[in-house]
Amino acid sequence: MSVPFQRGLPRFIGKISPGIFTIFLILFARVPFEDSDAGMYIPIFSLAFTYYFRLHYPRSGRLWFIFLLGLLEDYLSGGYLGLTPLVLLMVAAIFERQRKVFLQGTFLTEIIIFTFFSLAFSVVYWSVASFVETEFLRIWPFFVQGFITALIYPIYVFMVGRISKRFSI
Amino acid sequence: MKSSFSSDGQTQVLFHKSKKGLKYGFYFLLAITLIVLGRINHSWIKELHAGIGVVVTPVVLAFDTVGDAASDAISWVQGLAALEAENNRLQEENARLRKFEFAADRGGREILRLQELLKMRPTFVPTLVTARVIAVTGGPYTRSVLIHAGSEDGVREGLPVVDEQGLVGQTIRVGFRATRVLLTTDANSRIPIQVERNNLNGIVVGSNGDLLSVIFTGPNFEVSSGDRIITSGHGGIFPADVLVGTVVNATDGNILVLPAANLENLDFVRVLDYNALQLEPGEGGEE
Repeated sequence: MSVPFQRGLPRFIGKISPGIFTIFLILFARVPFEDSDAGMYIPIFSLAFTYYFRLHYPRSGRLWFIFLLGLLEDYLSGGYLGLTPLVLLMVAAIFERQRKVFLQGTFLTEIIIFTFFSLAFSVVYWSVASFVETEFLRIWPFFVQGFITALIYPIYVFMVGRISKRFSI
Repeated sequence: MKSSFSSDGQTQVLFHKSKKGLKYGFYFLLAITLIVLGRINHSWIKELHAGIGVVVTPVVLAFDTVGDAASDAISWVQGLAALEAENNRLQEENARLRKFEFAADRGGREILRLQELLKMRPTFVPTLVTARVIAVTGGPYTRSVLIHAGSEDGVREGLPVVDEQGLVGQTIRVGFRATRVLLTTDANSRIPIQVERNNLNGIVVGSNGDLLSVIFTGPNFEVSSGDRIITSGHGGIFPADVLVGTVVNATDGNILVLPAANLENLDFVRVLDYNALQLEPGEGGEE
């Protein structure tokens, strides 16, 4: 049974728009504005995407797309290709089993859990990066990035939520 | 009948789970393979970088143009208020610089003539391309920028990059239209240097922070705060006499250097056409 074009197109746009929006944010964050500082202050939007969509819309946060987002982050940051996808996949894997546990509670609870998640992500990211670099890297830049990602998460969710509602995915 | 249905359901669930597990396994394996290939600097990774660059560079460039326009608009509004004062300051500066221009021009011609008389190899390093910084790249463990010039402009790996104030870094990954520049502050950056005042040699390393550290100095190495650090030209990657930075701390054997280049606010950089390693042995000396 085919879906009429008039209904199918908005649904398709609705499905891809949060992903496109996240790519837009990842690229926009890298624009060298005046007084722009080092890349460690740029939030990891791919983490926010993975967390939000694996939690609320698991069918929208496909693994291949998460992988590509991570790859894009790695390309832009100049890090090893595959490092961010690896850590993002770990996050996604956690949601495969524990999604129902994380879904309980209010939005405030979700933000608090994401903050812990983000900091835990920083530690894992730091561990993997240190292992790959074969030296103990300084951990605080990873924490700063994780903390900034946690700060930006409510705004990200608000914006993505608006888009999702607009196209009713 | 009921039990067979339930058994079918269980099989389906198991099949679904194993399919998901396979998907995860595939992506995990792919990520790990990419990391390993990147670690050994395999040519596939270079090609993948170049491929991603082909797709991403036009988009980044479009964002950069928009960002630049916004930044220009803000600067224009801010500049309106101080326009008259700025104009007066520039006129005074222009008058002062005109006096130096004459002296510098005469000095430059004299140096060229003396070099010719001594049959000395010219130290001038030509600019290969001047390029705009299109993305502030770098993360918690890297310091690099993406510039809008690539192999189509003749950029190669390992070329020195400077701005109007000093050394910025070197090119590491060259795409068709974009190149990644490893900044001097990156922890993987190693630059052979010299103290301008006494010609003593050392190596400057980045620390992923704002300052550089001087290591591998000789036993009689002597430096003090305010000393200018320049490239020594050893190693063949960086030409000699390019300003790296100024010493800001020289106590307890911990020598810290503030980079001369404006690394936190780069807009245009010059890629120098220099690679001493490509020179034939004896070239220059036997001319």
